[in-house]
Amino acid sequence: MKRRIWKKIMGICLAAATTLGALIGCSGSTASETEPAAQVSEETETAQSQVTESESETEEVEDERPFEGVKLKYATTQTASTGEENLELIELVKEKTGIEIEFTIIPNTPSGELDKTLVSLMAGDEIDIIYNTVPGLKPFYNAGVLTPMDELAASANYDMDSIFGDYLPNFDGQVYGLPAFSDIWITLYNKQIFDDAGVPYPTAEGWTWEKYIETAKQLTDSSKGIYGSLMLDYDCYNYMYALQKGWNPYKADGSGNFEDPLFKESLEFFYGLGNDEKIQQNILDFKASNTPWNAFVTSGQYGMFMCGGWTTSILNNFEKYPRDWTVGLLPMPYPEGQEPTTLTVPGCYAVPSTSKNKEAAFAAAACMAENQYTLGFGRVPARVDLTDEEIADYIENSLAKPFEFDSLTVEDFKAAWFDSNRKALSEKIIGAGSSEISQIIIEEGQLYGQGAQDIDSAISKIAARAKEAIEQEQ
Amino acid sequence: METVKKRKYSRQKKENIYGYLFILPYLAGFFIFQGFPFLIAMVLGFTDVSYISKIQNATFVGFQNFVKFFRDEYALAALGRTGLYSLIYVPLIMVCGFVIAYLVNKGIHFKKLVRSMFFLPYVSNMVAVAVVFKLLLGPGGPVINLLMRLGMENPPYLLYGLHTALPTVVVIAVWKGLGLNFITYLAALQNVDNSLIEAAQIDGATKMQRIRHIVIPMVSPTTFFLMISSVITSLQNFTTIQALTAGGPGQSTTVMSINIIRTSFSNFQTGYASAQALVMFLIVLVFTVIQWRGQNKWVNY
Repeated sequence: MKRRIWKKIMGICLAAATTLGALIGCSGSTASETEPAAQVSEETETAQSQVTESESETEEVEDERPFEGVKLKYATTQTASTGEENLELIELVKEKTGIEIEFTIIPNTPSGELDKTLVSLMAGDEIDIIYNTVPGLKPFYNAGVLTPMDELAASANYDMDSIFGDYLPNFDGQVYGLPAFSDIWITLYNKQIFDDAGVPYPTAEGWTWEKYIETAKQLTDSSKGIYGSLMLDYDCYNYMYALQKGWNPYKADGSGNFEDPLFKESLEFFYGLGNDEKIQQNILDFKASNTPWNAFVTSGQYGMFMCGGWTTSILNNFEKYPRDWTVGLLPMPYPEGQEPTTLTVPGCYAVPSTSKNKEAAFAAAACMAENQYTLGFGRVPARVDLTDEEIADYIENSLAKPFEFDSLTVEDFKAAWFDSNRKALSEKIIGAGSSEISQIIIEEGQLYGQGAQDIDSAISKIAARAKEAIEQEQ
Repeated sequence: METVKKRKYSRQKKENIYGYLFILPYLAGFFIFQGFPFLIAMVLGFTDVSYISKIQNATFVGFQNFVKFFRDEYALAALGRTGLYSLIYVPLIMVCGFVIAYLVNKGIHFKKLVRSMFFLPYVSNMVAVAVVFKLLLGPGGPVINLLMRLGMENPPYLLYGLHTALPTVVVIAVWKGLGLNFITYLAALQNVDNSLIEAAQIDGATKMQRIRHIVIPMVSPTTFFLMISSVITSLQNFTTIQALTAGGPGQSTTVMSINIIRTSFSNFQTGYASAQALVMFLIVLVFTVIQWRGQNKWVNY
């Protein structure tokens, strides 16, 4: 009898242990997730206590802080929430507006996965501020989770156009975010390769594609594995030349504009740099050799690198990217006979529709967008209202300092990033089906580039598939 | 007598309860992480839901997504590539697994080392495997160099050729998955009754006849198991392709699994992607049922 009872107890215990084990296994991840969350709240508390200290110092301006005591939620990642820039930014907002910002931690979104912020907003979570690039905001707009800012700006008597101009994210005639900084395309060049080839350093004035190609040819020495030019395999390389010549990805009626001769010319131009001009790897060699995005700095084998300005962030990271050669900075080249242009993608703060205090959220977003560049993290402000003196002061005292090793001058930065005569064009296609269209352009364009199909087939396939994508989204 | 029967019944009942308790964690996991999402996918397949629109905005579209699938030349091409992938993968991995296991079983030096070497790729991380193969097959890699030494002027980059990418991916997938088939066949071959083979040998059967008429029928239950699992593995080939070619060049390696992910998360057509996943599920189910039904004709238990 006793034996049977023991057996029974043992059986129940074993089954319970197995079940508990599995449940603990499941909850283990939750426990580990709460740990960094606690760290974040600690960090946030520290930031908030710093804010409290500064509060007493700025009592006299309290009247100018219309949102004193208002608390807002800013959805951001764990890394960004503990970053110095974001912590200083929320302190700045508190100083200027009285708004206290708390971080709502959203997991990172690796490529190909659902955007967790979007999922949270669609589920109705209360979030007051989000950050994204202009093309990144488009899915949020499509999902109907963004607040249009025109009315908020009007009631706050805030002239968005005069401050941010063309950088404003405008979807179907309404503004849905305030741009804080802009990633402007540039040309970096390796002075060592120029010196070795006996080629004089180029200047920003009249820096056209024709000059770029001519210079790159002089630098290229394939026997040593040196190429005059490096470009990556992003979608925008396929159509940048067309954009610079006035091409628009969409026609006035919203249909695709891929049969436009300018688009064809652009594909031929980009892939021709590798296939015909031979100033850079052709696309097949580029893909097959797995050339990384940072090859310009890591290999020292490329004369010039044409990409977004964000790539400069690795120049002064000598621990990770050691080098003994210096870098020059130029603007993006443009087609001869055209106005100087560049590509850009602005980063914006937007107010989700789930925000319960949209006026305060708008004020906080405006404060962040206007002032983030002043924090000294090397941002190119997306403001068109800054005076020449303000820009010069910013470049000299903030932007240029980290690049002392490369002796980059205020003039270099001015020409590359602050040339008011240079028109900024959207780096990304923004419109119906744009995400699918980007993928289509890469697929079909690269097939043309590697000789697997002719240019006309590539164009007709891109046009047909883009048409389908646009119709699907419409 | 009746009391004994009752006790037996009661003990049986208790054992059953313990059994259910033991499988409860697995069942809970299965229903939460597989069963429930599967049911949701089934429902979504009949709607026009997009992951960037609220679920309450979704409308029931009947079989529209399924009709669209059979008119979508790109989705059908992806289905065709999936079929081609399976057609190469399944026979190759089955034959290679059997042949290598047979040779190892016959007795070779360093048997344990050889067994580990063949099993190692199976437990390796696919992303790491992809990095290694990209280096091996890329410019300056040993494969290109060898082909050039053999006199080929412009050797192809196998993973980046429009017509070579898919077969190359399959061969790498076979190399990676071979370990399981090899080890399972090896275990089965070790259980083959030697007296039968010896008897056949005395009767004058050749080596090939002994393999064909004794060894292969004796390991047929293993072949059946491996065939089903290989077909399913070949149809669920997302990781391998994503890590090696991400569906390119062009769409030359875009199989169904890649197309489903793109349709849902790049093109935002979650309903249509769910319908494609359902079609995929039905294909796997049909193949499995056919194999299950057909086993009586060739599997010897």
